[in-house]
Amino acid sequence: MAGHNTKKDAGNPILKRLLSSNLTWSVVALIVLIVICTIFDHGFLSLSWNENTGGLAGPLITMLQESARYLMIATGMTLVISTSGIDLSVGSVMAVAGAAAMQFLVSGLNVWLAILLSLLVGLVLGCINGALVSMLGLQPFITTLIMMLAGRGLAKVITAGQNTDAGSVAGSEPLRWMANGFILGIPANFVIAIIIVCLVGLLCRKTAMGMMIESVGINQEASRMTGIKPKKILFLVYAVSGLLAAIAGLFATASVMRVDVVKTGQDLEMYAILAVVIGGTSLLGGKFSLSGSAIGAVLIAMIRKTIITLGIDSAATPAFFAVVVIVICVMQAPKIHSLSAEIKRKRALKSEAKAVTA
Amino acid sequence: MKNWKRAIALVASGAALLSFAACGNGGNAEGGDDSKPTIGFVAVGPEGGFRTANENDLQDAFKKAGFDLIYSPTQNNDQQKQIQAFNKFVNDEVDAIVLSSTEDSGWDESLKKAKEAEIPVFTVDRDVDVTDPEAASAIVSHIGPSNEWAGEQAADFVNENFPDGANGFILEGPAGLSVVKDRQTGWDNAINDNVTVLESQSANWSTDEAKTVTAGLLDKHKSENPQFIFAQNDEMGLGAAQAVEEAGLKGQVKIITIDGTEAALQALVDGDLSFVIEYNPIFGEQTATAVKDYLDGKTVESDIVIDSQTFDAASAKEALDAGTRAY
Repeated sequence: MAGHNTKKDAGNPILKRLLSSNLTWSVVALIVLIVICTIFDHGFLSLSWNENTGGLAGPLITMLQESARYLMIATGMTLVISTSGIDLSVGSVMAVAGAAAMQFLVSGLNVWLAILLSLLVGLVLGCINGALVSMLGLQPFITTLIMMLAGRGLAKVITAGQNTDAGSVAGSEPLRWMANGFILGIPANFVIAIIIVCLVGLLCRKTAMGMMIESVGINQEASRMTGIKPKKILFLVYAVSGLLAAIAGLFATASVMRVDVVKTGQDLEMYAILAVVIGGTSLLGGKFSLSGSAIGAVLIAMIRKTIITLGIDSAATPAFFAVVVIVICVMQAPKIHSLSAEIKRKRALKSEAKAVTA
Repeated sequence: MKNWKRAIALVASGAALLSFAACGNGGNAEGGDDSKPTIGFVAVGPEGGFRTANENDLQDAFKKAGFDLIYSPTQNNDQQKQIQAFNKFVNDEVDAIVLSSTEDSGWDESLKKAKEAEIPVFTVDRDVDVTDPEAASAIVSHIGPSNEWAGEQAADFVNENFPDGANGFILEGPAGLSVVKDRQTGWDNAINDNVTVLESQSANWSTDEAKTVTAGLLDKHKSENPQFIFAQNDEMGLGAAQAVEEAGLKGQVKIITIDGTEAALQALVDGDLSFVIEYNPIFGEQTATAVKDYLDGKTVESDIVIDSQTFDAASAKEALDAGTRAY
């Protein structure tokens, strides 16, 4: 019996590695949620061609559409967190960029210029975060917390407290397409988001950039001594996070061509952090997984979709969200994995003892 | 390097102290003006459409009526900040407090303090829910449009348009708000038995979320032929309209919203929405009059309901063309 057990364990190293990988559990959670939704609503997996929008339509498609913004902020957040920092301002930067884009459009600016300028606004806010953290050595938590509050205020100032609606502005089609359009039937914003995630991934993993970011997260002083410039790296990650948040802000506002100064991006910094943590990036820094965060981001969108599909009472949605996230985190915990091995070992010992007494 | 950092910290903390001191002075100067009665306005803060119009109107009206209004908005619907502002007004012994609360419960203690200090409280827009009779007696009057009435109007519209019954959805605001409950109660009271609400979901007053939620609901209940969507505010209705349009159902699904912002009226004219019930934010004058009457010793009605109108495409066009809408 015991012999059989050890043989089985040794025979499945791939399975073992899969079980201990965070990525696997995120994918499993994703599949489980999709299965639950399909059981509840048999048409959940159905896809149809929508003549109106020129793309595929169905529950999964709207889920992917929503996940684009989470993909953007989660990617930026991954880089920041792996330098052992945090960026709480992403939600507010989304609102500022969205507010700027809508306001520019309403004031008659060319749509491409409006897109560029609002991305620039996000980049500038990110750079301010970066400068405060890297040059002045302020705590990332407090710096970005202040930016989170200031950004929300800035969004209100930009629109004079109104929810600016650019829905009737002529010539805004490119921006509208960015959030609602389709490329070969797949939501354009999802495709754009995936391309950006891949670009960031290539930049990090095909050059030494990723390693430098991680080394800054482990020990700034030591990385400085090895010739890495931690200040530049820190500045860069916050700037990138600001820019990506601005893209997310454009996705969120362009989907309805309307900015909601209070609601746009509200609480999304928390979703981004959740996506990053689910993806296996340590909050202590020094190690990151962009693909993990990407799956985490899609998972967040899927949880929200599940809430709609199951028709969970609005009062209970935060609790449902929390329970799902906790279950995923528990499944990923290394202690749980070693626990099952531990139980097996104990059981084996017991049966061995039984065999001896017999 | 170290010294340089310390210098910055010193300058920063100095600046912070100075600004605090400046605030303190400003507050005293305002409070010390004896010629005008001082009113404390515990407000929600700019939140778009309705709220901005409402609070600007209240501030203007009180200024015009010769009051000294201290405006104290909260942020992100934080009730804690509102309670702090309320208690500060009680300590400063203002002449009256105007309260536009973010949440309907949790005001008992503060109201009791106001009662002890003999400061009259006027609730505007959202009513508060108090269990303590002493706390309740601090409230002189509630001024605002009726949310139940608005919900009833929405139900009446559906009853009239679908006498043979229909299926549809309700998009609710965040759970627990009195506005949400009252609009729902009004709907429930007036709706016909043959009208089925397939599902109610919260979209948190947000356009963007409403679009996602509506798209999900339309997918899920495709076979049940949904014919109406009752969105409890304009923002959500505008989001629902876009989801309906993308699903190719424009015109087949009637969307009813409450608030009556300019964007919603425009959408009504464009045929994206079917019916808009106004929730009139312009009642600064009535509020200022009520406060003035009370301070002058006259009796004031305990519930002042502000009239609102309903709009269809034609009357919305008229209202927009007239250009008199304040929001």
